[in-house]
Amino acid sequence: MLTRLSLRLRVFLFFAALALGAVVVILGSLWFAASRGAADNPASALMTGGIMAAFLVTGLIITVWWLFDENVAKAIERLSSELRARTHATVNAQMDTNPARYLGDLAPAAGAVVETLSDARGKIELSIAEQTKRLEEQTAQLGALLSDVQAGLVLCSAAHRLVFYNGPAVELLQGTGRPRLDRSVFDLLREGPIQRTYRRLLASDENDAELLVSTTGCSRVLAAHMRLVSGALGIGNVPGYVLTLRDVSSDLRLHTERERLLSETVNSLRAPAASLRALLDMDEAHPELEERLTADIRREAMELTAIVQSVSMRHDARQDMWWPMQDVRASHLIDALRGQLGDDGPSISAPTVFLQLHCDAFALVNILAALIERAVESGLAKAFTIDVTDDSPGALLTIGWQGGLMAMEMLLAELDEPVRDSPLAVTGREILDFHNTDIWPQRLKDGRAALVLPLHHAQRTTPIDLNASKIAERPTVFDFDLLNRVPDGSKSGKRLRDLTYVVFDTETTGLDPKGGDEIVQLAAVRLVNGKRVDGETLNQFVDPERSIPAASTKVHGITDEMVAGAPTIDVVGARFHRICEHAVLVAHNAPFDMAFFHKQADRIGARFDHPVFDTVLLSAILFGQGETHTLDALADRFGVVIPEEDRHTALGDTIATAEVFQRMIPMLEARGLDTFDAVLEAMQKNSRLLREMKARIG
Amino acid sequence: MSLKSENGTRATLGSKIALICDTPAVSRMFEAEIAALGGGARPMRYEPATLEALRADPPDMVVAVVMGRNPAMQCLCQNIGQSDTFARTRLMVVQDSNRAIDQRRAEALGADVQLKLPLDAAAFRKAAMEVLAEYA
Repeated sequence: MLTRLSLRLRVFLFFAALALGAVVVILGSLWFAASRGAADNPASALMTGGIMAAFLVTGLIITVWWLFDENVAKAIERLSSELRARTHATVNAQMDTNPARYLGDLAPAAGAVVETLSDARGKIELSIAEQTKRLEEQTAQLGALLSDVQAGLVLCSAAHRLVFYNGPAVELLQGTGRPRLDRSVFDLLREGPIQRTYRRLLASDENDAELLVSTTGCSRVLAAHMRLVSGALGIGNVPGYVLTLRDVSSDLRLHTERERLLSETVNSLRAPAASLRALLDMDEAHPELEERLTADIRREAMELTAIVQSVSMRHDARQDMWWPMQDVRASHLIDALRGQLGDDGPSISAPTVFLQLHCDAFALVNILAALIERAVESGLAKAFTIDVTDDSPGALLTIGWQGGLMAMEMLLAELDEPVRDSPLAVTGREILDFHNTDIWPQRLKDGRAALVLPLHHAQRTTPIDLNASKIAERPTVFDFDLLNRVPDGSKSGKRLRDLTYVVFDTETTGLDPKGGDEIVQLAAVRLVNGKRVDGETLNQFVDPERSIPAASTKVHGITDEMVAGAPTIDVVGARFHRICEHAVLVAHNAPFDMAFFHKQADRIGARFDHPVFDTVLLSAILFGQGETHTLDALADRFGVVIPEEDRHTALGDTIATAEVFQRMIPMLEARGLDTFDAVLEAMQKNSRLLREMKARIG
Repeated sequence: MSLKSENGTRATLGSKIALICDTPAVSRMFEAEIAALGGGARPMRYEPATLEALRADPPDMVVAVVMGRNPAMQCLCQNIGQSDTFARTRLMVVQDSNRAIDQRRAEALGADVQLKLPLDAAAFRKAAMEVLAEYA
């Protein structure tokens, strides 16, 4: 009934009732005292009445305060949180106005504001979504394109921070730890050559230069091409730069080996050759020494034979290393062969093959096409099958047909021809030698004739998922906004949006790290420049080196079989520590997760002394300690949807925590908590909650 | 006991052996080893007429010595190993190469026995006897 009256009338009635109640209580108390008190002592009666009235009035006021706090103060606080969440964190869920039902039109008015805001935002978002979709499509196309670039590409800001890198760059820099956005390039590559070349280019009119640079672990030598990128891609007027990287370690190693082999061969042949010559000269001059000389000649000849054997073995073993090769899917090679033979060419049928060949695909396609054409011209066949089968550790390429075998004379004559369309004057024979292999005619078990070509290096592959796997396997990661960011190593005073975060979550064998519970799964994502970096995700099972209790499996679904063979915490922890470099850690109920890492710090060989933001504490700052701060509650409050199948998986909870945290940042900023220090200080003020959380994990 | 056939191919223990080798010294060594087995072989260099001579009177075994990459010898190996004319002729290929691919190619071209240089005399005798035993 009260909710039908206006707010002002209700407040008036509230205080009128309070005043009336006070008068009634005072009069009643005085009457009570006067009727019970002695007539000869009115002062005592008055005193008794006064004391009664004071207690009753106090009780009345406390009751009214409680009602006021419950229905007005708390309701306003809740309403303001809801409003902030919708204003700053762009939550679109409907507002719960029930707690503010006694605040008259305030809740419906706030609801109307939110609805209007939501409508307006919806229209803007729709427009943005259309543009974003286009941009995302273009980005995906660019990503797919760049993932096919064989060379490692790295774009650095003028502050030498990574702004872009592709899959091959990740492979090239593997020994130094994975490249990550906003990481210094000098963590991966030696500083000297890059700095020298960069400064030289800045000081000159030149725009690009070649350099040799080794990785920080000195495991690889890379040939790099540096090109300055000006305009928007730089800090102020100072340009950033692109590094195109190619591994020349193996080239250099092979050149060294070849030189060494040649040098050793010449040196080792000198002595026996000279000795043989001397012995033969002596044989002529001193026929009487024939018996002794024969033994000496035999010894020297044996030595010479041994040297030739040794040299040829070393040369043969490395023969397929000298020539540049690529990894190519067998099916792509067959497609290329079909293309080379043309639409009017012979019929080629080939089963689907999931093998990746390491070869000079261009040359091989040309050689095989020439041989097939030669077979057609000589009337051997018009239809061919091409099978590429596993011939571990390599593959066997068989071109089969019904009919007679190809004569060796014809095959060898074709191999002596230069490879078609090749700018290099190499013959088919030489190409086969570079692959340390040969091709020959052979009768197959089913009676068909064939040409058989073994290749020494091949890998099994999986079918290509045209939608996703190409990009997922070789991710291209970039954020061009980082180009304009001036790095500052210290986190003090830094804006929240400028910090790099690693949001993580663990699944464990139980809730008691000190009692022997261990991590069974660890997931982490990086937030750089306020955005989640898709290509920088960790999701790893961990062998806890103990059994997983059934009760825990019931929660996260991880069994002993699933973690069998997974790396242990020392390996995963060290990898996680590298990911956390220079970052602020973010977790939901962080003390729980951190306790496991602190416990294993010695095994991991690194201490996790990073600053930590806890979304539980941040929620307490934003919504008050009286609210519920579970991840589900926060996700619900911020409109973050956690798919049921992902709930209680480390990665699912990590992504949910990251999305909640991303929505918290504008709310914190709106409250004036827009820097690292301000948030840290605010979290300290909620230390009671922090202590309770720590107490819960012992 | 050795007999000389019409075209000069010698028979050892009832078998005819043709030795095809372009390196005189190595050829002499094989002749000596075959002689040690109690027989003799007709040494031949590879020439265009060689194959015709062999076709005219197919031997029981051909010992082909392949030094380095010898295309002509590879052609001969194919003509013997993959031809119906020489269906009953056994082919022994002796190579100076250590490459597995060369052994594999020789096998694919029809070699029944493969040996490497420098020659292990005992291995040669054993292999030759095993092959020739089929004709004993």
